[in-house]
Amino acid sequence: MLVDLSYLKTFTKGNEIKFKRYIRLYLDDAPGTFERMRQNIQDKNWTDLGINAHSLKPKTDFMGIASLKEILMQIENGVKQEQYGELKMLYDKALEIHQEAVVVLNREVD
Amino acid sequence: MPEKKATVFIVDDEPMLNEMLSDYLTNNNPGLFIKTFPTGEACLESLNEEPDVIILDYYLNSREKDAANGIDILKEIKGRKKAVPVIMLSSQGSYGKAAQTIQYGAIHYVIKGREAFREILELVEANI
Repeated sequence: MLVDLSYLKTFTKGNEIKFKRYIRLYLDDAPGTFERMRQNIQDKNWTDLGINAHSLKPKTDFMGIASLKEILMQIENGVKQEQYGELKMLYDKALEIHQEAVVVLNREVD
Repeated sequence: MPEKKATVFIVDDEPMLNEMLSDYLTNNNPGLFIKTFPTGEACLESLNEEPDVIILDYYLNSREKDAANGIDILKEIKGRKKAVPVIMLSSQGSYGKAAQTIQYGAIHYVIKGREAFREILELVEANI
């Protein structure tokens, strides 16, 4: 399952307004982080790339996008271990998952 | 006369996390009054409101590069209000970072994630 919203449903205890509100916050916020990460790769600013991946990670956890969280952890680890050659590929993979997840999440708030 | 609510400051540059944590704390303890801040600087400006607990993110400058980071804000808080309990938040389980925050006066270091909300509530309740 690409997006598992069961945690968010439990967290919001059936409050549909809050459920949609948190999804919208993610949808508003995540594209900016991906844009910053794209720029970080272009600038070879690996430290900031790690920080941006790090900041997005818990939000993907709350949205139940486990595969994206996993890739973000790999980006963070790649930065730590200075394996910069893999980071662009990992970013592209993360962006692809994010874009697929956005389609699912948008259906929840429409 | 109603009892005065305990004031909790949450400082995180992530709006979603600020709101989820704020909602969780107030839903589970109506005796808490929550104020959220997107930057450490904004929190420092409100320190005279005498918060009972401060929850402070480690990385406060992922969006605004000029913003102070959590460690600098922690040092500033402790310089001005030594007694206020500060709970540090991070998305990363790092012994080095945790030790650093404790060294500068934080009472605890919590890893952000699904399990963090309950842990933070328990820490807040233990420190008000």
